[in-house]
Amino acid sequence: MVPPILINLLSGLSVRLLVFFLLVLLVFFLPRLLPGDPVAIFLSSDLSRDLSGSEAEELRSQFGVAGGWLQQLGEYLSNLVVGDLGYSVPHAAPVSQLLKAAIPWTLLLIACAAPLFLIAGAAGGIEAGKAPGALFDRVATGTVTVIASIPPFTAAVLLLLAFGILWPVLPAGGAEPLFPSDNPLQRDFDVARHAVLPVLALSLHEVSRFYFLARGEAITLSQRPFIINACGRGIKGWRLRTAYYGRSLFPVFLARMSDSLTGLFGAVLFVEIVFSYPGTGHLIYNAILDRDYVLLQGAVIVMAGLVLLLNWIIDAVATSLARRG
Amino acid sequence: MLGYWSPVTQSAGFVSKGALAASVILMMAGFTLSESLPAYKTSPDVLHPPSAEYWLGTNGIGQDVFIGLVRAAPITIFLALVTATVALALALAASSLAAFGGPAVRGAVLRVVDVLQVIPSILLLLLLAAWIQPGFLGLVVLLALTGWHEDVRVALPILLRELTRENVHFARRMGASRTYCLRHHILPAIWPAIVGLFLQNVRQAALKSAGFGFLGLTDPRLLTWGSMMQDAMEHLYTDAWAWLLLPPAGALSLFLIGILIIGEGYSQSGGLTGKEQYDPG
Amino acid sequence: MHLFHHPLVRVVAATLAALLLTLAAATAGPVGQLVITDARGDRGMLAPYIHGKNGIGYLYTTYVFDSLLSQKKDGDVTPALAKRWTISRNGLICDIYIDLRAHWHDGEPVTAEDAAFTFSYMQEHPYVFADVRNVKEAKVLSHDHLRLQLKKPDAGLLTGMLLSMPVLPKHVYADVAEPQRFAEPEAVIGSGPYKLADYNKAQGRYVLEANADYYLGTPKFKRIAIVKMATDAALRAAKADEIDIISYLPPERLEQAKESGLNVVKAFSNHSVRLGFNHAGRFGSKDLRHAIAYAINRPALISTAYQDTADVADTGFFQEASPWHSDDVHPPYAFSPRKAADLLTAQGWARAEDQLWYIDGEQVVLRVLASKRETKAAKVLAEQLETFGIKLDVRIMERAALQDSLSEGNYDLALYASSTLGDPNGILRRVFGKKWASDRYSGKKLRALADAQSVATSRQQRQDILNEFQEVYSQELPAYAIANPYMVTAYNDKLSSLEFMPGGVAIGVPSALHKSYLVD
Repeated sequence: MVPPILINLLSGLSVRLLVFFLLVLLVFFLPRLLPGDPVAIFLSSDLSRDLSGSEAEELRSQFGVAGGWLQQLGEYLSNLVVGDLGYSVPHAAPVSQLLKAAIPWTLLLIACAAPLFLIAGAAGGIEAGKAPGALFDRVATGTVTVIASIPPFTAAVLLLLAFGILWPVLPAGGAEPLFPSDNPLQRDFDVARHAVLPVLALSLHEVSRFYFLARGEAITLSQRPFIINACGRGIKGWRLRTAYYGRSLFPVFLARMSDSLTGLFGAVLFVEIVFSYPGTGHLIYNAILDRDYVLLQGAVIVMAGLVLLLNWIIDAVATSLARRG
Repeated sequence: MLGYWSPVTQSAGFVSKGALAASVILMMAGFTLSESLPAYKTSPDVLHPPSAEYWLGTNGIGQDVFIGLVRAAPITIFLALVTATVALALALAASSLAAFGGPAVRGAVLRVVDVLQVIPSILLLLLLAAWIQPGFLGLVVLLALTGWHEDVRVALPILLRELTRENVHFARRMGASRTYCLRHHILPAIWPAIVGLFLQNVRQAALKSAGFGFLGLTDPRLLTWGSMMQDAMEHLYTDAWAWLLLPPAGALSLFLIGILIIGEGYSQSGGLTGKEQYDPG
Repeated sequence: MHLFHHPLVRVVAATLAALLLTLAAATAGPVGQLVITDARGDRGMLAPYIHGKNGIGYLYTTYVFDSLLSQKKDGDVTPALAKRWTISRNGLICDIYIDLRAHWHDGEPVTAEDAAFTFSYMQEHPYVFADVRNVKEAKVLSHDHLRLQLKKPDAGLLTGMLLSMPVLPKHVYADVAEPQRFAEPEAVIGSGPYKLADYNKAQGRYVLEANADYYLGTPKFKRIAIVKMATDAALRAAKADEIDIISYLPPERLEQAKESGLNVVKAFSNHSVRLGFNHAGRFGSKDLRHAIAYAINRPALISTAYQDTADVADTGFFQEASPWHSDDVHPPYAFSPRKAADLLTAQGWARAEDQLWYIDGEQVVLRVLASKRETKAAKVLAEQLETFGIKLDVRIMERAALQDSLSEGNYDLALYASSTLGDPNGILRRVFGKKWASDRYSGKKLRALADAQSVATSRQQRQDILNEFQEVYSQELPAYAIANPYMVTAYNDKLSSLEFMPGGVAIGVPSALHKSYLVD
C-alpha cells in the first residue's frame, strides 16, 4: 500500500519539472535580450585599455556569450545536466562556490522569519477572530492594517533608521562583525545580532497576510458546532487556541504558504539590499547590473529550484492533510 | 469583515463607491492643480529643513518636497488605477477563456498561471526593468503582465460557479442569448468579486511601483512617491531623512490604507470574504 | 529575543560573558594593525588577472605585487624591482637591471627571467591595466639584466608600461593556461610589501600581512585589514578607534570625520564630469558645441548639484593638479545666453515666439544620456538648457544600457565622468577611444598632437606638445568639462601626512593610499 503522501508528491512532480524547464529557458534568453554587453561592462573602467578584436572574442567565450544563441544554449544545457553551473569571470569564482557562500544567509533569514510571522499571525488572528469587534480585534486589526500598508522596503528602511542609526543598538548592515570571533559561541551570537533587523523587516512584511487569514478562519470557526461545544464544556485558554483553532487552521496556513513562497523570496531581495546582507538577493541584483549571465542563470535556477522543492513538499503535505479532513 | 472599520462603513456600498469616486476626483484635481503649482525645480537651497518658505523642506538638489509630493500624487494614483484595470482585464479575459473554452484550454490557462505563480515576479520585473527602463506606460505594462495571474485563481472558480447556476441554465433554456445571460445573470453576480479584485490590484500595483522606484529601476524623471523615497536613501545619516522619507512614505501608506477601507466597504456589501482580499503581496 | 533558536537560547548567558572577554581582548590587540574601510567592499582577489577591473582593485593589488618601477610621493618614478634602467637614444631599446634583493612571497628570488616571462605572458593573456603590445622582444641577458626591444619609441614607457605592469612569478604562472580562472592561494604570490593572508569574498574583507623580507624597506604594519563598511558605521568605528582609515569619505562629511578625531586630506579627484557630444550626429559642428557650452552656467550647476564637493573644471582636459596641466588659461565659456543664441542663429537655428529653438520650423529636441551617478548634475543641466529654450529628452540609464546607447550613437549629449590622470597616453583612449566614457572625438589636428606626444623623446618636448594639445582641446571642445569633484581620505595618527598621489597612482588611480605610505 503506497502512502497517500507519496502519491501526492508524484502528482505534483511533473508540473514542477515542466515549470523548471521553462524557467531554465527563460533565464537563458531574457538576459540576452537586455541591452549591454557583458564584456564591455566588465572592462568599462576608463583606466583599462581597449581590447583588440581577437582578445575581446576570447573573453567573450569565457563569459559564455561567444557564438550563436543556440550554440550557447546547447553548451549551457549540457553543462547544467552534469551539474556544472559555470564560472563567473567578474567574480573569478565558480558559480556553485558563490552560491554556497550566499544561500545559507538567505535561508537563515527565511528560517528565522517564518516561525515568527506564522506564529504571530496565527496567534493574533485567532485572538482577534474569536471575538470580532472586541477591543483586541480593533487594536490588532488596526495595527496590522497599517503595517500591511507600509511598503516592505520602507518598513526595512525605518527599522534600519530606528535601531541601526538613530538608536544604534543593532548592526545596520552586513551579516557578521568586522572580524568574526574565533569563539564559536560568540560568533553565533554576532550572527544572530546581525540577523535581527533583517528578520524583523521580513516578518513585518509577511505577518499581515497570515493575520488576516487566521482572523477570517477564526471568525468562521467560532460559529462551528465543535468550537461552540468546546466552549460550552469550559475549554478555554491555551488549549482552545491550539487544539481547536490552531489545528483547524493548519491546512489553510500550509496552502497559503505554498502560494506565497515566491513572494517571500522576492521580499528577501529588498531586505538584503537595504541591510547589505550577503545573501542571494544581493548576488542576483548585482549580476543583473553587471550582466553576469552565468552567475544570474545559476543563481536563479538554484533559487527557483529551491522554491519549487519547498512548494512541492508543502503542497503534498497540505493535500494529504486536507484528504484526512 | 474588518469590524474595526464597521462604524465608518455602515452603508458600505454607497460609501465605497463614493470613496472611489473621491479618489478619482482627487487625482483629476491633482493633475490640474499640479499645472498651476510652482515648477518642481532645482535651487541652490539644498536640503533646507521645513520652513515657511519650503513647507516640507527641500531635497538634495533643492527641489521643494511639498511640491514634489503634490505633483507625484496624481501620477502615483493614476499609475496604480490604470495598472489595476489592465491586470484585471487580462485576468478576466483569461478566466473567460478558461471557463468557456473547454477542458483543454482550461488546462493550458491553468498551467500558465501555475508557471507564473512559481517564478518570482520580482525577478522578471528586475530583468525587464533593466531592459526598458520603464516610464509610465512601461511600468503599467510590466506590472500588469506580472500581476494578472493571481486574479485568475480567484476569478475562475467564481465564474465557473455562476455559469453552472440554475438561473443561467433556465435562461438559456428559455432561449436567452449568451450575451443576455452574461449581462443579466453572470455579471451582476460576479461584480462584487471583480471590484474586490480591482481594489486588491490597486494596492499591489502601488506597492510594486513604489518598490521599483525605490530600487531605482524606473525612469528617474517619472516623479512618484516611490522615487521620492529613493531620493531620501542617501540622506538617512543626516536629519534630512525626516522630511525626505516620511512625507512620501506617509502619503503612500495613507493611500494604501484608504484602498483597504474602501475594500472593506465592498466586502460588507457582499463582495469577497476577507480571506482573499487583504493580501499584501 | 524571540529570534534565538534552540542552540542559542541555552548559550545566551555564556555568550554575553564571551562578548565581554573578547571586547577586553580586542582593546589589547596588536598595535601593528591598520584597518582600512572601503564602502563598496569586495574588489576581487588581489592577483593581477582576477582583481576587480577598477582602479581600487588595481591599487590593492599593488600592495601585493610590485612593478619594475614605483612612484615617489611627488609622483615621479623611482626604482622598484628594477634598480636601474637605461633607454637607447632611438628610444627602441631599454635595459633593465633587477634588484636582486627582491624575493617572491614564497622565498624564491626575483630574477630577470620573471620580468621577461611577464612581458611574454601578458602578450598572450592580455592584462587590461598594462599594455605590453609595444614590446617586440624581452630578452634575458643575465640573471639580473633584461633587454626590452620596442616596436616604436614610447614616451610613456616609464610612467606607463613599466610603472603599471605587475611582475608575475614565472615559477607559478608558467603553467597557468587561463589566469582569469586561477584563484588558488598561489595566484597571490607577489613581491610586494604585503602578503594576502586572508580574503573573504562575501564579507568583502582582506587581511594582508607584512612581507618581512621586503627589499625596499620594512612594512610599517604587521597586519593590514581592508574591510567593507558603510561610511556612517566607519565614522562611528573611527571614534571607537576600531578602524584607522576611511579610504573615500564623501566630501560633504568631512566635518563629521574631523569631529570623530580623524585627519583628513582633500584633493581634486581629477575625475572630471564632462558633457560629451555626439560628433557623428548634430554636434560634428564646433560652433554648436560652443553654443551649448555658453548656454550652461557651470558655477550655478555646481552650487546646486555638488555644493562644495566639486569645483568648476578646466576645459583643456588636464586638470589643475595634474603634473601635465599647462599654465595657460583656457577659455571658461562663461555663461552667456546671448553668445549661445548668436552661435545657434548662425547655424540656422531659430527661436520662435514660445522661446523654444527650431530648425527649419521643426522643434529641436536633444537626447541627453547620463549615468546614475550623474543624476543630480543631469537634472540641473536639463533645467538650465530648457530655460534657454532647448527641449531635452533626458535619460538617466543603468550602466549597461547607457554604454549600449552611447556606443550605438543613440544620443546628442552625454554626461559622464572619466579620469584625466595617469600617463598622458591615456588621452588616446579617453578622447579618441571607443569606450563609453571616451569623448569619441576624431578631429585630425588634436589627434596629431596626441600621437606626437606619445613618441616625444624628452619630457620637455612632451610637455610642450601637451600644452598645445590642451589649448586645442579647449577650443575644439570634444567634450565640455563641467565639474572636478573632490575626494577625501580620512585617517588617524597611525599614519602621518597622507597626500593624494599627484597624477594618480600608477595607471592613474586617484588615491592617498600609495603603498609607499605603508612602508618605512
